[in-house]
Amino acid sequence: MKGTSSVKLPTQVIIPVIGFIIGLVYLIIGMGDFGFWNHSTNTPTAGFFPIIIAVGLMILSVLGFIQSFRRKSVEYRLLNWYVPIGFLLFIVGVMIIGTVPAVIIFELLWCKFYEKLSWKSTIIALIFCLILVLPVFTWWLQIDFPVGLIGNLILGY
Amino acid sequence: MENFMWLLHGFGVVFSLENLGACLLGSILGLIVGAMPGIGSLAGVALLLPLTYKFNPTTAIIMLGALYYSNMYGGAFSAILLNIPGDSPAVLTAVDGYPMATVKKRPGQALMTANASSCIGGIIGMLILVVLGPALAEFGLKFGPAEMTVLLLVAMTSIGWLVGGNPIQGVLLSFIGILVASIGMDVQTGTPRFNFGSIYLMGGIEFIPFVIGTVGFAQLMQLMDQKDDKVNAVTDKLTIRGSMLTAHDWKRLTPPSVRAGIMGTFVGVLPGAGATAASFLAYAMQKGFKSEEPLGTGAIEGIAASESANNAAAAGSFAPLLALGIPGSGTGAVLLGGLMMWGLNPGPLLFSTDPDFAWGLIASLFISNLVALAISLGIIPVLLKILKVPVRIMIPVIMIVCFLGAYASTYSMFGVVIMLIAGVFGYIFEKNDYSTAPMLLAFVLAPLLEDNMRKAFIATAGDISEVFFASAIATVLTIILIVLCAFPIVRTILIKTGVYTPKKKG
Repeated sequence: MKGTSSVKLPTQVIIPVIGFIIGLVYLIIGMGDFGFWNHSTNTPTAGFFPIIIAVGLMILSVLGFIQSFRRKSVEYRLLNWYVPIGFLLFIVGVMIIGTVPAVIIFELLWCKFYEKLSWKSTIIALIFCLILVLPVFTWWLQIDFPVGLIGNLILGY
Repeated sequence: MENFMWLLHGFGVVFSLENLGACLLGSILGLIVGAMPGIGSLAGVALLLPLTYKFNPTTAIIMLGALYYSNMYGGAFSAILLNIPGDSPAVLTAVDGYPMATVKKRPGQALMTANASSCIGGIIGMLILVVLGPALAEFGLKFGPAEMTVLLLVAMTSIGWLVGGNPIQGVLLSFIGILVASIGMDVQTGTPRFNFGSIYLMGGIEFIPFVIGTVGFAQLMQLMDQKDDKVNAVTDKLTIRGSMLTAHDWKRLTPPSVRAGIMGTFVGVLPGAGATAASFLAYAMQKGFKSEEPLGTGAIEGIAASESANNAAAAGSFAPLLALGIPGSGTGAVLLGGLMMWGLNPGPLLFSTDPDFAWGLIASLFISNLVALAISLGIIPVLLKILKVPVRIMIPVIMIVCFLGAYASTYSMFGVVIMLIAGVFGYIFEKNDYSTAPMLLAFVLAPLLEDNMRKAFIATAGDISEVFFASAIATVLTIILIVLCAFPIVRTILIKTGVYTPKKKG
């Protein structure tokens, strides 16, 4: 079955480690660039609040790290990652061929060729998306979506 | 009495064609999104937030309020007809709703019970909100920077600990949310900070792409697990006439709805407790009262208690949101973000400086409640078709909605990239049992907390005791904060020393 392969990753350990690193980075930048307290005016600086939170985050990350060893590794299925991968390809499509063509191609590829839905369901999904893009967002909310490199060339931008 | 006069004034504000249209649109969309299994009110409100851009602030927030409120109605539909709660507050609705629909062959009446008790609970919640909101705001006027600092710390801590099972994980994500929010301009000096040399980060991380990613996109990744699931839907044909309740049914549903409505409102006022806790507590409370049939076997009383409480809690959560600027849940945080996006700062002065908005919003909740009830009844014949939209079709469509929302709020592909990154992290967090609701709340409240904290420290020249014990209010709040912080530690010690043994689930 497609997308059923999976991998176990110790993200329960990795999350507190990343939390600690984020806290450390904010602490170093905060202390180095902004300081904690302005002694001449006796007022807090721009680094005051983030530094407090950064220190708190580092402490909590250590506690979370200790706790994490009691928990099992998490299983990630490839199937779930089709969403960000597909979305990333869609973004590339938007930047090259523009929003409307990218939406059409993306919906067709996903619904018809990946999900193997009927033409009826595919067309309904596509029409729904195009209604959102054109009448709702472009005409009513007046959002100018990217026309892509090709669109820019054609329009002479 | 004065409050009810203001409420009438609020109805005057709402009764414009544009506001009523926005209320109707919000109710329809909220119902549909709420009914779809696996999306939930938080993701639903986040995904639909960009649709409010076209309106003026009051109309936009009326639409958001209607969206949020009708979402609560929608959650019950899939719980009753598919045995899949649309959202966590509807979990206990499924316990009695699905047996009533399948075993007792009364699906229409189960839906009608849910709708009627939601309406009763909602009205009770709103009436209490009318009385409580301004009183809370008046009390809030006594709050200076020191009191606000401690209050915000209490709100963030309690939500971090009440939402999700692990307090450390909740507060850890809250702190990450605060640090993400501190990217951009310093709130007091206007100095750029933590932008890591990127011009894109100089303006900070935009709220809408962040919330759409963390909630909507992450939910989409999780939905992939359900895309091939077969649903056991109710097969009976549903009609409005066939869904009508008998006088005896009404007699059974009214007392639990009223009890749960009152209790649910006060649970909704507490930060972090929210609609889910309210429905669980109301269901537990109903066990202490007489039910015609045992709960869990399709009892009307069970559906009524759960639904009434969660709708009342949704109304009750507006009291701290409007009066103190403190949301009670993740969805409340999204609403607060929407309010701030429109330049409105909820807080003690809102009722006096912008009564049109505050009372208009409360009045719109009453109207949304009735509109949602009417639409809920109207869509009964086509409900199964809506609920049976395959997840496989919904996924690519919601992906496009995520893109449109993220781009429309920033006019930049950078916003779309932020949404994608937030979504992937949101998914990983949820996969590891880290609830992202505290992070969203912290992200929204961080500027307010920083501003108040710095003002408090400037006023006291850095004396920490003067901040936390500045007044009687600050002292009481500090004690609550200490208790909240100490509780899990004390509990762990008691368990380890064998003094206390927690009850096992199930």
